[in-house]
Amino acid sequence: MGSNNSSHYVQPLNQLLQKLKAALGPEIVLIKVRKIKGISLTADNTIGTIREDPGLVSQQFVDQFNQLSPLLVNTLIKPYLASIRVP
Amino acid sequence: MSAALFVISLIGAIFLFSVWLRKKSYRHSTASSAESRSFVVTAFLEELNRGLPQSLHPQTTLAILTNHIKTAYPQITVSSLIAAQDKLLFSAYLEEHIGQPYLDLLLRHITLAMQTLSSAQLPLSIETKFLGSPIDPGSKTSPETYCNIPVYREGALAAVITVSSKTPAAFTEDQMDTFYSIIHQAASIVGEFERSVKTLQEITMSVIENMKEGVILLDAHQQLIAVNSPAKRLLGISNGIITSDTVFSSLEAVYDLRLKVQDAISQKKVWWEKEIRFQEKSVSLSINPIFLDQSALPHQILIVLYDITAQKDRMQQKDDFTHMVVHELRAPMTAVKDAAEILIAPGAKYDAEQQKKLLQLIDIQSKRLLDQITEILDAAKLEAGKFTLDKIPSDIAKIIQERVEIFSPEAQKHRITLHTALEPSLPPLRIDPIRIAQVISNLLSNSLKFTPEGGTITVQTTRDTHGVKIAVSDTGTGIPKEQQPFLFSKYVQAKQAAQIGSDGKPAAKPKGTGLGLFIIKGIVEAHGGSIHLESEVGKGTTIYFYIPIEKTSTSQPESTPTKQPVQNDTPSAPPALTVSQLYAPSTPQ
Repeated sequence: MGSNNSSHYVQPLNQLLQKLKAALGPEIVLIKVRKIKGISLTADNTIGTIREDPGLVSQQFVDQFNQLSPLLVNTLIKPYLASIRVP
Repeated sequence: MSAALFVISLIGAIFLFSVWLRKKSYRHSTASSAESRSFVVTAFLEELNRGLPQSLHPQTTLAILTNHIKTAYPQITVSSLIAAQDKLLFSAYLEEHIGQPYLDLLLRHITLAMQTLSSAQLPLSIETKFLGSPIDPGSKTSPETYCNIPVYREGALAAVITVSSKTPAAFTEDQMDTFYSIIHQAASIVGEFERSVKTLQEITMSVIENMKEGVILLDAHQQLIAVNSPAKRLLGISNGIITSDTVFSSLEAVYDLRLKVQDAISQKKVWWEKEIRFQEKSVSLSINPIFLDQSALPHQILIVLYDITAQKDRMQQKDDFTHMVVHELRAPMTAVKDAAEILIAPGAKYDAEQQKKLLQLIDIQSKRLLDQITEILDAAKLEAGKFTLDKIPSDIAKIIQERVEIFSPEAQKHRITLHTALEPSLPPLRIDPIRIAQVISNLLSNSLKFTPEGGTITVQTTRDTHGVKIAVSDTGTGIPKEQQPFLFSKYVQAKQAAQIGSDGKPAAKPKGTGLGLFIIKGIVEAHGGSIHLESEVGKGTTIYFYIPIEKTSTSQPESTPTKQPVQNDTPSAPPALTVSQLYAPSTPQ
């Protein structure tokens, strides 16, 4: 995927990140997000760049948080990803 | 040399011991998450199980879970937020030295979590509850680390649990994973419990609804849990919102059910009420408080209602019948006794004519008594299934003609036309000719009783491939519809008393036991046949019975005991024919 497409999803994914921090607390969210390959975090712990296909990145989001709570993924994460139309 | 050896050995031993100790600690630390999870979930399940079913209430379940998490992790604060009707309930088990600033911030975090996770509007009112260490008024600490864990129930957010600490980085990733795992496992088990309880409740409700008896189920506080349709019918309760007050007040005019329930609870025993007369029904009931433990309140109260109206009516009918029979037997006996006393009175002198009259009276009354006793015995045999027949191939047309000839003088006397319409070449039937003659005689006798002068009585036969139908029709007074279902009942005497006689006036109480129709029904059914009635007041009555043609025929008479006791209800048999089918165009013979 071109970097233009990927950068298009930085802001929406940061919004998802904020939602997750509010819902679960910052520590556990950052621990999980740091395991997602293909993104880099800034100094203030937001997503700076997306180097991989946004679809693969969002699938990793799902996989990481699915380990904590499948219902959280189904009720919060997946609907949000669908709304921002991640491929 | 030996001292150096000792020192080296000592150092080696200490080294080996410390290695062993580190290994043990390492194993303990890697095993602790699984152990913690197992400990918390096990303790939670034990307490949940002890408190069933009340422990399945969401707030109770949440309190049990957070309490056990706190027990396993005493150095942290465990809090929860749950929406309950019109308010939020925020409770927290505090670690040491937690002040109000900590709690305010914690509440903000957990409320934000719930708002983010839930699509529903949250109530504005918040109720708080704090346990564990007391609030430290001097403490200015805040939750330096926290982890919110959503709790789902039936796919929707039910609560949020937050584990927090005033110590920064207090939780490892493994520990946070463990918290999620604990809550996920607990929620999953509770969900299974709830589904099992719900399934059990549905099964129980289904069983209750399909019971013949009326069932009312109350909880420990006498609030209504369930009431089935038979109970609603018995108590005259229509569908709609039904409460325990509805149930109690339905009977209050005749019975204080609320008081009896309280008595049964306080005495801890089953209460039986043998009969309550209510809205023309007789009902008996039992009140069963169900105690699961030694507490003063029962777990539930089960009230069972039994409709004994039919049973009471049958007992009353039997009593009436017994009184009637005794009276009917006494009357001829008294006449016989009186006549005999007159004849044998000392010094009595009667001429031959007077003596003959008294002896004739004794003879007539004795026969009457014997007939009545025979009827009673026949009825008893029918009910016991011991009624025997002597079946032989018989000419039904001949039997009918004989009976008609016997009753013809009586008919002529009352200017009633009595004729037959018999199909030619009726096949011989394997019947007990005496008993079938009894049936026809009974029907002719009844028709003569209730047909006015100038009327007509017809005996007709019709055959098909399976048997022969014999119908006795009259243009008499007819039988009211409401009495028709009871006509062949053993206890019809009282009903017959309300019939209209041939003179248009209410009939006098018929003489005899009133068992005639019951007996002839039994005779017909003993032959494998059926008997039916069609009647209209003012137009007349037709009683017809059907005798099947038996496949095998022998010339030897045989006794055929009835296999089943004769039931006092409408027999099942070939379908009833209409009146028009009865009057086939044929020349009376």
